[in-house]
Amino acid sequence: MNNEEILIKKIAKQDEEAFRVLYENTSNKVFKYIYGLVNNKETAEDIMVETYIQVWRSAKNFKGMSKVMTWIFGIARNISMSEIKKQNYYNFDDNENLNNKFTVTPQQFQLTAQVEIDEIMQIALNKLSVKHREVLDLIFIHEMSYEDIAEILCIPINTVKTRIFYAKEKLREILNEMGVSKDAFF
Amino acid sequence: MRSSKNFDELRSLLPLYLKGSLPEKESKGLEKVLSENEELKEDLKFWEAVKKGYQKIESQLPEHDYRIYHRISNNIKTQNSRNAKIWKFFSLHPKFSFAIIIIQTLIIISSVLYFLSIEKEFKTLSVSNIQAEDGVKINVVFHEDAKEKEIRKLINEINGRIIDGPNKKGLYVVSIKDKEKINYTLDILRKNKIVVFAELAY
Repeated sequence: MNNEEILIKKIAKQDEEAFRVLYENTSNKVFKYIYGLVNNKETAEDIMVETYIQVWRSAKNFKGMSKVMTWIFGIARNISMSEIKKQNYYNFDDNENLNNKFTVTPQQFQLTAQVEIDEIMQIALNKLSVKHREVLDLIFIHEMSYEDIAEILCIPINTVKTRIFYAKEKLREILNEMGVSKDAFF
Repeated sequence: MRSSKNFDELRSLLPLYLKGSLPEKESKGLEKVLSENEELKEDLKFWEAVKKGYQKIESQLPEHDYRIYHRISNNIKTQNSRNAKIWKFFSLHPKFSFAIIIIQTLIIISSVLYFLSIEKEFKTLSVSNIQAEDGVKINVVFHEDAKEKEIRKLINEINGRIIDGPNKKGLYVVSIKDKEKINYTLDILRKNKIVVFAELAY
């Protein structure tokens, strides 16, 4: 049993100190994950409060079938998705609304060769739909394995791989629309 | 020749390879293919760019408010104190606990009695929802060409009445009051040309 699992066992017995330690160990990652989904600091903080209250209440139901972090991310995702649906932030599968948030014309990139790749890619990533973006977030920010991602998103591992493939295709499409040629990265 | 399935599998491992989360054995296998395959190299370059994009994103992510824990903690404490108050109340006033138990028991008993009272009327199993009554019941099937007028005439003749039917198979239940005439009645029914089947119902 690892350290986090021991903490969860203690939290199940209403140990507030264990809860505080778990919060300190995990809150940064959880906040980053939620923020990646809702893209708003205040909303992300509200969701984080709800997430940890849920962790406190459900600790006794944690069976140790998954990693503690994966379990917390799953709770955070459920609450975030409800919030996204409630506030009608943007279509889960579509990036149409996000496209309006980042208005970059193709000409800008054609003219500015000195624009850094990371900046271009940052803009393109921000234009991805939540469905595609969250898989990449989990790999590149949270360093999750495909098994963990499958568990958080409640999908089979093969679907995770397919989503990664389509996320990449979509990114290429977005970059193309931005006027960034395929060779820009090579 | 490498199969396209294996190639796709290797492709899907590139992000993990870049993040260093791939086991050593798989990493080495991937590196070997990478040194020979231009398409895979291109993909890797693309993912490297994605990784750079993420580094940029991560560097700009806001920090969460340090007071959040107090919000969570206060919420939990409020819940706990509410629960504690309820428990304290009942432990200090055991009479209330007993009263609640008695009320719950009474509700359960009265519910059981109510449902038993609904079911106390006897219902036959042979046909749906026929209540038992004085007299004898006979299951009868009439010929499919029998006319209503003929059926009525026959029923009047035996001094009976139809109390149920027809079901999907054309079965009627006919009741006669005089128990002693049952054999005589069955005889009349069976001899009549419009009757296909006539038997005592149990």
